[in-house]
Amino acid sequence: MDAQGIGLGPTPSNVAMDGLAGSVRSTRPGFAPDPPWEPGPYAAPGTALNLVRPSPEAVAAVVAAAFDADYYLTIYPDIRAAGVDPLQHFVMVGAAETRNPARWFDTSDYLAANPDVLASGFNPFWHYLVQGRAQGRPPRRLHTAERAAFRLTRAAAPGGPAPAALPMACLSPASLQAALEGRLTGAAGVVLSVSHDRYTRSVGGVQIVVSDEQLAFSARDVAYLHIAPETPRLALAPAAEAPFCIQLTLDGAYVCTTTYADLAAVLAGLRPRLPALRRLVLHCLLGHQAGPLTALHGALAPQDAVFWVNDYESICPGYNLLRNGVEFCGAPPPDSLACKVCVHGPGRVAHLDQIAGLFAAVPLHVVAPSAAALAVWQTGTRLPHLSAQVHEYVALVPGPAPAASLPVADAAGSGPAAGGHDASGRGGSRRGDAGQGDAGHDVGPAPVRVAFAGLALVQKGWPAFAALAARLQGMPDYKLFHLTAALPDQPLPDVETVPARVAPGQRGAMTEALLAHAIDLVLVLSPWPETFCLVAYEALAAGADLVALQDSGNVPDLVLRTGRGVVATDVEAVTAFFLSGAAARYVRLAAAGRRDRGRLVSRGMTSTLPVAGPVAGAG
Amino acid sequence: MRTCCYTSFTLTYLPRARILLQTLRAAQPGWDIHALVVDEAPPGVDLAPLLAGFDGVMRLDGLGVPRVRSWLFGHGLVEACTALKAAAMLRLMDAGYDRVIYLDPDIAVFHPLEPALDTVAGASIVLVPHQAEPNWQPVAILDNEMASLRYGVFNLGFIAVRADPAGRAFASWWATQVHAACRDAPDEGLFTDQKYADLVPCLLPGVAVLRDPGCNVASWNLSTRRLRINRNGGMTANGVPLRYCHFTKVGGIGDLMLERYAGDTVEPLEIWAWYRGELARHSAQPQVPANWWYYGRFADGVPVTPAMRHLYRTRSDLAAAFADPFTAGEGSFLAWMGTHQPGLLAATPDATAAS
Repeated sequence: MDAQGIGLGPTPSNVAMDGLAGSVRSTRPGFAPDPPWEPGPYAAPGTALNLVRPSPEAVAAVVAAAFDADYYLTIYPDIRAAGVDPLQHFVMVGAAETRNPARWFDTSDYLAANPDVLASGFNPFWHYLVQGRAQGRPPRRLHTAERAAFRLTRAAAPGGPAPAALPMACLSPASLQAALEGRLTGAAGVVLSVSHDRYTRSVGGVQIVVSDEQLAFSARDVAYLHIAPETPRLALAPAAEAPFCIQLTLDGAYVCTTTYADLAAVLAGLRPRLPALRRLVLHCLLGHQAGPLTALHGALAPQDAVFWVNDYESICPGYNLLRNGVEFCGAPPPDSLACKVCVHGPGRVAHLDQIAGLFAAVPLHVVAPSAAALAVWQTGTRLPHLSAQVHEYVALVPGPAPAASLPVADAAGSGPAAGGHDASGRGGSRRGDAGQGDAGHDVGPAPVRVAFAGLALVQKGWPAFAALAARLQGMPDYKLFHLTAALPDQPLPDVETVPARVAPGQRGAMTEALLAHAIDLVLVLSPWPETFCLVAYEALAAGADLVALQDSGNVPDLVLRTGRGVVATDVEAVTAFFLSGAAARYVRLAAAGRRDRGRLVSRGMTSTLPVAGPVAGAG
Repeated sequence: MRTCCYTSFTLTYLPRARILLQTLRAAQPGWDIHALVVDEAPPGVDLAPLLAGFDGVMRLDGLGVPRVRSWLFGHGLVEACTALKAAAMLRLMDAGYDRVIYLDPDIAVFHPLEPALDTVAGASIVLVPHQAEPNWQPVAILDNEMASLRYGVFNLGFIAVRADPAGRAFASWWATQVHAACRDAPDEGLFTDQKYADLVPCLLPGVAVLRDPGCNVASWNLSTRRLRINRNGGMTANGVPLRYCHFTKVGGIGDLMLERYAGDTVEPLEIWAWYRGELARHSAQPQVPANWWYYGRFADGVPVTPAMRHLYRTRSDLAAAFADPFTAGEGSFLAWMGTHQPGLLAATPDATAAS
């Protein structure tokens, strides 16, 4: 009987079986991987070969006790759809297809680490159970997510692709002037804003910041001229690179591609007729060159210039200071051993040379969205600057539902909600939730609802969440959620995935999703000092409290300021917080009677900073 | 104290030797660094720029080894490179260095070595073991303890010897042993120059075993070394500065051991990936063919096989008759084999068989 004979559906399936264990077969390409390593003198020869080859029934008998059928059916929906016995499938087909029989055993990892097992042809899970475990062979690689991130980071060219050579479809200088002249000369002011991509095309941290800033300026009739490199890159463009195209956006509408030189010439020509209120705002320098930006500053001759510490690009091209994309590096000296082995190390000196050149040539006011970010910046650099201050992106104010776009607070900024609690931050007061059930009810307490909000990325703490989810499997105290715009490559079992896509017209999507699922705790376990972390504010707005790491920058500070959540010293402490039941008690008891919600109000970014001339004595 | 460090290699290992040179120079700028090149340049290749940066280059004919080409014919590549280390050490002592340190070419140095050597400052001979802590898991014991028993307790990728009487006695004894028998034959109790080191603490005074976990981090001890990269930019192994890693068999069995014993840490992967990247960078403009070894072929290009080496090494009459066995043509050892051992010539399939 073939696959159609047992009614396999149209969904892609790798399974074909006729109900007899001995005739289950794979429809995947042949499983005959080349051994990744040659056998060698240290490979413990013969250790796997001293076993007698078992029958499929004998394999099944051994494997059955450790096989996790629920897990198998959860992560392999094709098996579930096929309606076959999962254990039989694994024994006859799944192992050869390198499918995993339980969360804690990775078939591919095991075979990669044990070429003698691979060569023997034994079922790797069976081998582990009958021999490998006693020999100390690990059932899976640990830190898998970090390893994946490391490999991705190493594989990616740090600078990204070089931009296409000129000429592209650049507007002529005359046409460019015609496109800009009316608006720039007739506006109440002109802002020249710089970031790494066209902010109207996607929604991310910097894009949101720039977009909100533009809206705030537009509301005051200030022309907002934004430039981004035609080709985004994760590093500064080399100083010696030939001229390339940049994208020009005016008041949120795309204008054209042009060059730094043409734009500088147009701005210089228009300057006598430009309004007095002129400002240069540097949000993100990646993909740009410092020299042409300096020339643009000269052409615009603004009243002041602002550099935002939206990330740490002015300290290292690895803008979140994750060494090899994996671990917070602490921004050591560029000639350190850590930088030597980091993918960002080789380009860091030239990168910092350009940054230093820019700061030397342009008098800059430095603005960070949090005290934590400013502290990291001031520790990690010695760049000259006129002043340094903290200016939050958003404020959390009491009130109902989030809005599609954020209103702008007044220049002084509306005071943040809550925040009146003692800043010990460890178990501060929190709300209870009438809908969640309390101890003493006949049915017992409902599980505490815990979420990871955002993409499954190392820099957002996904590995720590995944590890915690594995430890909490089967614990009735907790129900786990993953709110995300994109499914992870391998969804976690027992974690409910919830779509939450923040878009220009749906800025409140994450908060709404958190509210809709009555999330109690949001884990923000970022392994680097977040400069702001909007999702932490969205969690608070949705009435959830935070579980943060003390090294996660603004996030633990936010917990301490608001008294909303707990701060853990490390991932192990987070795990202990949950396993001990303290997290459940925190939600059910310590936080009883309070559900603080709120709405996020934009502070207007640079639009609410008073224009400042050079400040004597600062820097 | 005048210290020099040297390494021994054939030209295919030049990229590795250059990584050693570059990292050692950064960590120990006061040391002289010499190269022992057990090879000759391919036709048309100028070695001078390839060996730039070394303070001295030792060649085969300058080592004082009697009938060196005859002796060399009896040895494979690894055997030759390891055996000549001892002769080179004697030469460097004679040149006036107070302390001579050997490092394998596939080593990279991270933090300075001197602080570790200071802990054994009184010793004339410093050895580093493959392992400095026991393993307890059967697989790890098979991979490590059993391998040490077979291939030698100490890793002679490193040895530091003072030019004092005890150190000179060691170097002379070592040179004598390896000249007589430096073979990759663990079933006979031999493994190049390395296995002899097992005897050194028993035979000679002034020997120290450097158990610093920052030294000799390699696939054979990753199971007991926890590598960290710190926020101050430094690196540690088991909490002490990471001094050097030995990147043995990168791309081969070393990768398997890395996977098996890196455990739940990513730092070993980062460090090994860096080394692979450096290797690729230094190999980017190959001027030496991949399988090149001048002494792997006869003068006419016919590969020298292990069987030919064995025959020549074990027949003193042949060694006496053919002083330079690498020659070809009438009257050569190669011609003699064509007449008396044609089967050996028939078994020379291609260049890769040469060793």
